Amino acid sequence: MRGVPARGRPRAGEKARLTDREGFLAWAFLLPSVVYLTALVAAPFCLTVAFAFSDANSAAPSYRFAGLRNFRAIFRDDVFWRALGDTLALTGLSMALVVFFGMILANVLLADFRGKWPVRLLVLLPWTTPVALSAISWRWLLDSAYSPVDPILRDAGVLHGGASLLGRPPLATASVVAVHVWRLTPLAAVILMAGLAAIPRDVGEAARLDGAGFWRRLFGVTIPLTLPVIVVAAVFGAAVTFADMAVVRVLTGGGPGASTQVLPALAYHRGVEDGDMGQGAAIALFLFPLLLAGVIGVLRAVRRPEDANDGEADGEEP
Amino acid sequence: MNGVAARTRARELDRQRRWSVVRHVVARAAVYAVAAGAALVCAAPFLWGLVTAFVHDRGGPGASGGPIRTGRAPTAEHVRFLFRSTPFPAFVVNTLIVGSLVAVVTLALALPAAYALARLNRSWGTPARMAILLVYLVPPSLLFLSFSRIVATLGLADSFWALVLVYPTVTVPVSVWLLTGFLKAVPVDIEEQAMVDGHSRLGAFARVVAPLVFPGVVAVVVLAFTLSAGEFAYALTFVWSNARMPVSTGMPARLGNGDPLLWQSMQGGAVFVAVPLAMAANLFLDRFVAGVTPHR
Repeated sequence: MRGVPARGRPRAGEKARLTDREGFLAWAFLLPSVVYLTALVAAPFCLTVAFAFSDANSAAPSYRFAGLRNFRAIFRDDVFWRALGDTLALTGLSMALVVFFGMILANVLLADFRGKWPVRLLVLLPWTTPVALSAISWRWLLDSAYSPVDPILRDAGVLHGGASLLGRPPLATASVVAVHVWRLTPLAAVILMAGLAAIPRDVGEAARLDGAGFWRRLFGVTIPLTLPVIVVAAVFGAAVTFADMAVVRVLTGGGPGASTQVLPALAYHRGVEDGDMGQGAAIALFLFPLLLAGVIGVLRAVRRPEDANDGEADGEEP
Repeated sequence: MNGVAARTRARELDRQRRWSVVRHVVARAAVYAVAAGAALVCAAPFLWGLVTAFVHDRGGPGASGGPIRTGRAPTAEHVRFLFRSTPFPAFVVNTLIVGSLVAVVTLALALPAAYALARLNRSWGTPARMAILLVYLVPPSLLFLSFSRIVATLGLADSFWALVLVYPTVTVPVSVWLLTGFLKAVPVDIEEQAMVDGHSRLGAFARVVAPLVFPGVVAVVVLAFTLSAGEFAYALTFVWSNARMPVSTGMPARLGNGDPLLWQSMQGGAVFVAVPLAMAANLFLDRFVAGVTPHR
């Protein structure tokens, strides 16, 4: 494969040979991205770890090793444990709902119907809109004396007196989950659409001809075949959810009390607003195990079909 | 006897046909119902925002009934206020500048990388593609604290150049993944023909392949815009002057509190930002689905 094109231009000499050498080109093309990502992801990560073991703060930017002091401080802190629990519960619950609704939405978006263009446009809104702006809109809809939601909830007896939806702990938490599910279902649907579209048509047809009903086909064919994509959709959604501080910051501010506080927002609060960078970094570091779990989940989900697919592709190529 | 059997069979077939028609109608109705319901839920806060952005306010949050039942003609007062008396236009301009620069940087980094992964068959191609995609999972909220120190050291504190520097860490991984899919769909023959015609590998890439993946390039530009407009943690930490903020932090920080009039204006602003982004994404949705499709 390598020798053929190189003979094309004998006169261009060294330069042509260099730009034709695949090994060199592969590295030259890939290196900028790799260097950039390494410098701006790996380096800050190491620095975060370093800060977590230091007494760095915004007033005195010098670095002094402080051992486990930050961790001891946050372990004694009820708000931290609460935020950790909330982050996990919020992410788990949101993702279950996102995959469920995403699957329905993906099937509908793949079907043919009139008026598909405007429907797709509206369905994309939650995903493409900056999340902070969505949270502003949701707050205006959920938590304003002006909104139509308020009188409905009052009539239903959910709210009394001066209380508001986002001012009551269980309802505030439910609102945060609802906004995350609302926001990520379209993304999950798009990923799942790709997975559903990749199912060979004849597999579904064969199952239908064999007399398998809708549910049988769903659980016997569709879900097993799209499982890797479902995991990918769930993990990408989870990565966005557990790392998000915008929804909580704009919608509830972590309140009432600390009932909707999550790790990223708490890390920002401690690290930037309180100026205790060490403690903020230590809190942020607890996102890392969650990230690792997500990465392992994706790798496990993708590995098997990817290998099978590679084998196929290699076989096809001459 | 034969006739009876035939008639039973005909009736049975007829019954089955009618049953399948009913099933078809029910399925169609379900598709329309779910589609309409999903569209309504997805648009709900923005629809309400759009309505309230154009109605008269009733003066103070104590007023009962809400602004929708005032029975007066729509007003552009809130929208005018948004564009004339708030920093919203500056937020939009900042977002556009950051988005454009991020898109350029993203393409410059991701297109060659994707080409290397798609074409120049290296044994490490597939794992490298996966590893780059997984970088996308590293959340900004894990890195923003130490990044703020790095940004300050580089002299970029409180400047949108900090965002231009950092946002490609979010956009490049997804873009490499997407573009690799697009490049794999370009037939190898086209490139080899170009090379037989005397172009080098590099020349074939620049003159023949890059134009063919133009839809992928557009998709990446839209993606880079959307992701950088939506990012929150970095923007919140790195930029704190009103005049330099993008919409994602500017609107909640400077407009988020205060009187209902401002809230009504802001709803108009949210819709103003949301709709163009969704329209751009809608244009490339099919390409995006094709790009993330595995087995390719």
